Amino acid sequence: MSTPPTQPPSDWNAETAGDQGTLYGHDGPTPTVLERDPEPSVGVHVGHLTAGSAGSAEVLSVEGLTVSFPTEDGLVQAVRGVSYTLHEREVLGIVGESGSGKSVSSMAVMGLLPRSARVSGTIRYRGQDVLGMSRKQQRALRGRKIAMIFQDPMTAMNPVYTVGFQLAEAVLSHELMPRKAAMARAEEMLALVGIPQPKARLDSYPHEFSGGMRQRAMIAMAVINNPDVIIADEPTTALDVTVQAQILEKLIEVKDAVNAAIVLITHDLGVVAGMAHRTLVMYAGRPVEVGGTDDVFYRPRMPYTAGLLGSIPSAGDTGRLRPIGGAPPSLIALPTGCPFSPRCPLVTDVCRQTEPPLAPTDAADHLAACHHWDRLAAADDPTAFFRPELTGLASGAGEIR
Amino acid sequence: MSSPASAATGVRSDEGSEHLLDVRDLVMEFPVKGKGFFRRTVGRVQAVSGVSLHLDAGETLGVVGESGCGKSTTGRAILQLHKPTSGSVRLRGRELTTMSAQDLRAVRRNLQIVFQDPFASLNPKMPVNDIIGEALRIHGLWKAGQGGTNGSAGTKGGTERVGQLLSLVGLSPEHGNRYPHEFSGGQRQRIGIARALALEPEVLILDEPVSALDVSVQAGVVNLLEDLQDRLGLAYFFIAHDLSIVRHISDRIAVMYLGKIVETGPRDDVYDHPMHPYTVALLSAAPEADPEAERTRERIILTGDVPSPLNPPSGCRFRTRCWKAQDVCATQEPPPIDHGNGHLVACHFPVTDVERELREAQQHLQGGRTAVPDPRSVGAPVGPVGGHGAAGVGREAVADPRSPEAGSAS
Repeated sequence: MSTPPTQPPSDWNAETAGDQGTLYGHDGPTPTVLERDPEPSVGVHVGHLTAGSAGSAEVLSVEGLTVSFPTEDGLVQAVRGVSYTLHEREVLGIVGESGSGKSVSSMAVMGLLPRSARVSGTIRYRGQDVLGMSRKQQRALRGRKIAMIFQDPMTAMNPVYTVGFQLAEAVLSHELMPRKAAMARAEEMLALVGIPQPKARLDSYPHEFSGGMRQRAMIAMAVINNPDVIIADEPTTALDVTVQAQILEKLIEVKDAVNAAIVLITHDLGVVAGMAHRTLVMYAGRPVEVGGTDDVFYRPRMPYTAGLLGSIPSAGDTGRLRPIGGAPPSLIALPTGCPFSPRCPLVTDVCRQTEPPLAPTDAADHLAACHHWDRLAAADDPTAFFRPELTGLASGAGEIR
Repeated sequence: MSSPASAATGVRSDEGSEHLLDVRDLVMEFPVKGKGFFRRTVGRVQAVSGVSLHLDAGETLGVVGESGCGKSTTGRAILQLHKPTSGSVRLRGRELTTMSAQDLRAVRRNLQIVFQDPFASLNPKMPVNDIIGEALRIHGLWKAGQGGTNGSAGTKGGTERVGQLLSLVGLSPEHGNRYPHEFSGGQRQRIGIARALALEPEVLILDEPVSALDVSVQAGVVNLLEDLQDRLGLAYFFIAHDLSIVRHISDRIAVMYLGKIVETGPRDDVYDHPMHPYTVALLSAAPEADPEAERTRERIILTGDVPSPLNPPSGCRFRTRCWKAQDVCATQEPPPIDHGNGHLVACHFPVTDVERELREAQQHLQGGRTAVPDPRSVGAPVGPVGGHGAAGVGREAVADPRSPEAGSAS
């Protein structure tokens, strides 16, 4: 449970042969063990970013979650029926553009939404209904069993307390233990996430850390209570490419160390591609496609997913990019039918009338909300539907609402 | 200090020709103020230290690097928004660094900038027509002194021009009297581009123009930029950290690290055959939207952060994070050396074979680090933070059969 490590964290990322969960699993017969000591001043290492295999037991299940916010302009339907399950040690990637409801749905799971928010649906943590719990019970869960890593570590941390104090606070708010022991735990966690001189760094304030180190400290804070679920909301968006790689790798390493599952929220398809076992794509407050990461990336069954994938420049392709024409709909006045229909190259009358449910496609565990997924399935290159010359949407011309 | 860079410009194949924009040995220092009452200058931070580059008409130079490496500062110093400490910036042969403010204003008709944040760079109190037309007014191009703020009868020339600009960037001219908040991010960035184009510049400094936009919208703005370049023959100084977009849009690439250009050359040379270790690491760290490639690809993950520019490392600035660093790297700053085709690399030990480099970087780590025990003798995973009952199929359960002396490492 919460017994402190008996060994310095630096030894316990040792790899195991044959385990899919090797962080640096190379093709060769011997797994390599690299980068043990926390952050030497000189150094690089070579590795893959691959998370360990997922378990089968459900830790978190979300069903029919809806969140709306009453505003002066009307009811903003930020989340409209999100359902997903998260298995033990699984990494679930949630992708979507800004305003698609990916952050709001996770805030609802954490119980961090403002009081004005209207939340319905069910959220279960290991079978217990989270929304039906008392505030006290929710508090006991939050930060202990379900932890969160925020996008911007500078604003997520309190600037007037030391990092050590804040880490220890995370422990002390859930467990009765001497402050000294909590500090020792904080130190271990800082070492675990690769912060050099963790003991000295306990007394530092957040502003004395660099962006990457702050994000490491955030990860340390999230895992200090040994959670089952880590919700990482755009954990690397504010970081540079090389630091992003470090942080993602550390996140996987730490996740595998504490056996947690991760909900990884991001708009960066590259991050999801490397890390997530399964991927959920959101659009206008709803999941529009869920499936194994390979299925979603290689065999998209929802035109929006195909459009997203097609709009990323690829190395060999120097022709014109293929943006999705138009803009996401307003969450106050959603169009009738499929919310993607005004931008969709496959649109027909049925799309404008009825919103398609999230239903199984060619694979049973690959769900998509599209009337015409079979047309995508029949196409050689599903992203090709978004060629401007085919869609007739001149770049941006029809963009004004 | 900047002599190596200027020496290198001598080896450039295209030395004789006059470039549209020519930057030589650009240095940009900012004072560091003390804490006392007088806030005396206690030091200097060199954000850009001796950058030389050039840009020709109709060409795109992609500038990549991590935050704080000086890429934006370089862009602004070219525009003289920051007065460079030393070095020269020439636009069509005219030196900008010594120019008076009045002359500069005229030059800026040829040199415009698009900012990163389309939310902060547009005045929320001005309708779009005024935002775009402001430059025309300042430069006296808004039909002979008729400076009405809401496009009254006498200002037809300007209004028309603004309408043209809006349709040029794919917006409808009727929307010109709306305010910025009524537009989406992608549309706002189009307004920012229209504003920069109002004076028909030859060079556009694009400071992370698509970083703040959603993926599907980015592509539209990138397409727009490419179209405009084809139609108007613009030269782009394209600053970005998204390597795939830079690869798509650029003709040439400059990679910056801690205020210096470490590698520059034609796009395909730099992307397909990176020679500076930093470029190799940067390219290998960038995630791709391809699950299979992501799983199998080996990447070099640099440890630590970029050193502080207040106190940059001696010699090669990358040496503190470089796996190839040797003694000479600490003492001698590597000059940029031309490896053919204008591919300049500032490294004592340039990378020739990326594949081999990955192996060597790995070996270096295993051999060179005493704290790293041999993989085969490493203890079984100790599973320090206990399991959660049923969840205990994690690391501690998969005990390593190859490691009898568990936990011997320290």
